[in-house]
Amino acid sequence: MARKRYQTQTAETLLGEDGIVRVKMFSDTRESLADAKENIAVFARLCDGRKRPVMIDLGGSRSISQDARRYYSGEEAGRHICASALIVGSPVSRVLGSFFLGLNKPAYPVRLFTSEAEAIKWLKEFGP
Amino acid sequence: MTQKPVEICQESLDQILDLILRLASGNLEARLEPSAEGNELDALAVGLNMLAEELGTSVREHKHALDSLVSGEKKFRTITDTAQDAIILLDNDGRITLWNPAAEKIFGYTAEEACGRSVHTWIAPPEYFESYKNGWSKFRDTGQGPVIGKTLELQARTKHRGVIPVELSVSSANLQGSWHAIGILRDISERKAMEKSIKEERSVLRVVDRTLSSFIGGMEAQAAFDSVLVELLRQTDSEYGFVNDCRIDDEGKPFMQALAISNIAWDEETRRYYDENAPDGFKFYDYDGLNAVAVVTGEVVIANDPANDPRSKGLPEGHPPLNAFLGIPLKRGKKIIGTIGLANREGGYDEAVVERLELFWSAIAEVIEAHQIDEARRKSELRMEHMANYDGLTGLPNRALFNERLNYAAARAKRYAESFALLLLDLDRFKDVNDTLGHPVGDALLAAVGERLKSAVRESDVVARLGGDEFAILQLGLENANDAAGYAQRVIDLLAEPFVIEDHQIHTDTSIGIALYMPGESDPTHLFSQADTALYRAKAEGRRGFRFHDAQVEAEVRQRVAINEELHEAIAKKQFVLYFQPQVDIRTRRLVAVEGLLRWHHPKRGILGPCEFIPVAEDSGLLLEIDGWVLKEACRQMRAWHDQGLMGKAMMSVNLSPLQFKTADFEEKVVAALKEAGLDPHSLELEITERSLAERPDDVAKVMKRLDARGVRFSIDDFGTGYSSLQYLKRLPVSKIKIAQEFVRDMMQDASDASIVRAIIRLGQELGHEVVAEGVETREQLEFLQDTGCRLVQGYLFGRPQPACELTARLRKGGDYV
Repeated sequence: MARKRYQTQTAETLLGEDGIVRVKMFSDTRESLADAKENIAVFARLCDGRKRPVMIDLGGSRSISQDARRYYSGEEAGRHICASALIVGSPVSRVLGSFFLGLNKPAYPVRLFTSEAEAIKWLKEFGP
Repeated sequence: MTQKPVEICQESLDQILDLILRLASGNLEARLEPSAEGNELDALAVGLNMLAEELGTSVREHKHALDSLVSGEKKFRTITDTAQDAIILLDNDGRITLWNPAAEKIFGYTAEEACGRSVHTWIAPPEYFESYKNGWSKFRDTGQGPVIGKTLELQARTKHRGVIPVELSVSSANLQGSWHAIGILRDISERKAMEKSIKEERSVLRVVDRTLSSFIGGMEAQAAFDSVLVELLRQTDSEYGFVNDCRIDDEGKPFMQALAISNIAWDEETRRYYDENAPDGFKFYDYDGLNAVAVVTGEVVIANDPANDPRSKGLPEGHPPLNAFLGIPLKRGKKIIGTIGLANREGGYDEAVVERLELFWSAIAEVIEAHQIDEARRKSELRMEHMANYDGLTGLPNRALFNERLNYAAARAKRYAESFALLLLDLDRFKDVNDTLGHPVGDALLAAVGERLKSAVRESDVVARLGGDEFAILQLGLENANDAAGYAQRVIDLLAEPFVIEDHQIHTDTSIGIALYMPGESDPTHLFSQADTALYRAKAEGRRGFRFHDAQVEAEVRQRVAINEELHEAIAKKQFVLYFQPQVDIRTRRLVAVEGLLRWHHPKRGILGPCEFIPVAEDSGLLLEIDGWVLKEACRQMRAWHDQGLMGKAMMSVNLSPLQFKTADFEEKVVAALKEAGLDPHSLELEITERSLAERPDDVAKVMKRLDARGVRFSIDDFGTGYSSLQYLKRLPVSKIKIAQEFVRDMMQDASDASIVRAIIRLGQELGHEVVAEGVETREQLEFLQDTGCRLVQGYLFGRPQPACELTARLRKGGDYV
C-alpha cells in the first residue's frame, strides 16, 4: 500500500497510494530544529517536487522546540506541504498541536484531528 | 479511546508550581521535564515549557527590537542633527513634524517655533501658495504630487535673511497609514551668489576681451576709448563719465588728458562748459577736485553725496549735475597712469561695483599704458622724421623735404598740365648781421624771416630754409608768370620791413631768383639751377629785386609790371580817350549810332588799343575805374554832340565788361553817369556780351529790365561767339544783336560763316531785334548783308574808330554815309 517509506531520528514517513503523506512520530521524541529539517528533507524527497497533504501523528512526541515549530510553519515546509492534519490523540500531542496552530500560524491549512479517518477525509480535499 | 483520569499527586503539583514561580521570577529558561506517561500533567508541563520558551523568545525578540529601534532612532537623530541640509517632515496636513538643526540654521526658526506650522503658508513665498494648495489634496490621498521624487530650485522665506534660494528634494512616505512628505532642503545662497559672481565675471571677461580686441583689432584709438567708455557706463549704470590718462607736458608739468569723455549730458550748457574749460583737447592741469582725487591718492573715490563731500571743490558753471561720483585710479604696478570717472549711478556707487569690475579696470589700465607707449613711440618717430625733414631754427622744411615737394609738384604739374614757380632767395648782407651782432641775433633774424615768409604764402605753397640765409618757395597753381612776379615783389617788400631783435632794429633786403615750370615748355629737373642762376643775376643787378630765369618771360613780366604802374599814371593824368565808330542804316545811309571805343594815349608808345592794357588793368583791379570813366565820358560826349545839334536820334553805344556788370552799384553808376552828363537814357545803348548774361542770368535780367524801363537800350555784342542761349533773347529786353566781326570777315569765303550770318539776321528779324553786322570792310560784304536783309552795319567801310573831334567834323559836314 505504501509506495515509499523513510525513517528519521524522530519519525517514520511514508507516501500512501492516495497521495497523502503519513508521518508517525516515534514514541517519546523531543524534536529539535535539526530533526525538523531532516523530516522536511525526507518529506521533500517523497513528494518529488509536488505539494502534498500530510497527516502527522503526534502521539509519540514529548516536545517540539520553538525553532522546529517555526521551521515547520515556515517557507521551506510550505513549499512541499499543501495541508496538514495533526492527529492529537493524547493530552501532550493536543497541547503541541494547539501551540503549533495557535502560535506558529503556518502558511498552509492545518487542522487538529483525533480520528485518522476524518483526517484523511479532510486531506483528500487537497488531494493530488 | 477514553483516557484514564489522571491521579494528581502533590509532588507533581509542587513541580508545576515551582516551575511557575521560577518563570515568574524571570528565569525564563526554567523547564519541567514531562514524564513518559504523557498524561494531563505531562501535557501541562509541556504547555508551560512551550509558553516559557515562547515568552523567553518574545522577551528576547522584543528587547532586540527595542534595541534596534533605539539604535535606529539614534542613527536617525545623528543624521538629522548633523546634516548640513534642512530635513523637514510634513504630516498629512502639511504641518511640520520634524525640523532639524540645519533647518533652524537656514530658516532662523527653532524646532519649537517650526513644528506644527503649515509649511505652505509659512516659509514658502506667496507665489507658490496656489500650486501647493492644488497639489496637496492629491498628495494626502496618494502620496504623489508634481514635486515628489524631484529636486528643484525655488525661493524660501527666512526669519532674518528674507527670501533665499534653496534646492529642495521631496519624497513621500506612508507612516502609520497616512502620507508624509519629507523635504531635504539646501541653502544655495552661496552657490547662487557664486554662480552670479561667475556669470558677472564672465560678463566682465567678455567686456575685457571686447575692449582689448577693439585695440588689438586695429580700431582707431579714439573710437576704441569711446567704446570703452560706453561699456563702462553700461556696466556701472552711470549717466556720464570720462577716461583720463596722466601726461607730462613739454614744460614738465603734469596734466590729465581725456581719452574719452561721454556726451550723454552734452546739452548746450555743458558743451559751453567744455568749450570754455577744455579748449585744448580736454587737458586738465587742475588737480584740485573730485575728478583728480583718485590720481592724487591712488585710492578709489566713492562720493555718493558730492555736494557735501569735503574732497569736492564744487562744480563750475555749466557742469552737468553730479549726484554720485566714482573715481577709479588706473595703475600699472605702483604707478598711476590714469583715472576713470563715472557719475550719477542711480542709488550711488559701492565697493561691490568696484570689485566686480576689477578685471575691467586692469584691462583699461593695460590698454592705456600700451596707448601711452605707442603714442610715445609715434611721437619719437615724428620727432625723428621732423628732425630729418625740417630746419630746427625756423621750423620750415629743409632742403631734403623741399626737394621731395619739388619733385612731387613737378610730377603733378606734368600730369595735370599745371604751372608752378620756384623762388630762391637769400638775405642781402646777412653776413654783416652775424659779424656785427653775433650769431644768436643772426639766428633770431633767420627765424623771424621764416615766420614772415610763412605768413606770406598760401597754405598750398611750400617755404623752406635750404641752409644759411638761403630760402626757397614753391608757388603752386600758378596762372601766369605775373603771379610769380607779384608774389616775389610782395616777399621783397615784406622782408624790407625792419626786424626788431633784442632791441636791434635790423634792415635787410632780399634778392629772388625765379624759375617757372610751364607745362610742355620747361624741364622740372633743372629748376633749381635755373632759379639759382636767376638769383645770381638779381644780386648782380643791384639786389632787392627779382629776376626770372627765362629772358622772354622776364621781358613780358617787366612789361606787365610797367603797364601796371603806367595805368595808375594814365588814370591820374587822364591819358585815356574815347574813339567813336559809326553804325549806319544802309537803306537810309544815315548814322544810327556811334560805339565808344577806349584808347590809351600813351606818352611814349602813342595810341594803344584795349587789348594791350585791359588784361593788366583787370589783374591790377583798375578795370572798374577805367570802365566807369568810359561810361561817363561816352555820356558826356553824346550830350556835347546833342548840345551842338549833332547826332539827331543816333545813340551812344558803350561796351560793358562782365566785371562791371557784376558790381552791386552798376545800375546806380549808369544812372549817375546819365544824370551827370544830362543825357536822355534813350540815347544810351549798353553792349553786353553773352558771357555776362550766362554767368548770372537772373540778376542780370533784373538790372536790365530796370534800366530798360528808364529808356536805356541793350545790345548783345559778338553774338554767336559766346555761351549762346536763345532763352535770353526771348526773355531779356534786348533791342539789338551784333554779329561778330569774325563771321562777317570770312563770310564771303566761308560758306559756314555765311550761313551763320544769315541765320543770325533771320533770328533777329523773327524775334523783332535789330541786327548790326560789325567789321564790314568791303562792298561785297555790304551787298551780301543787304541781300540777306541786314539793315545796320558798322566797319571800316563807313568809318574807322576816330577821335570825337574828327567825328564832330564829319557830322558838321553832314551828308549820308555812302
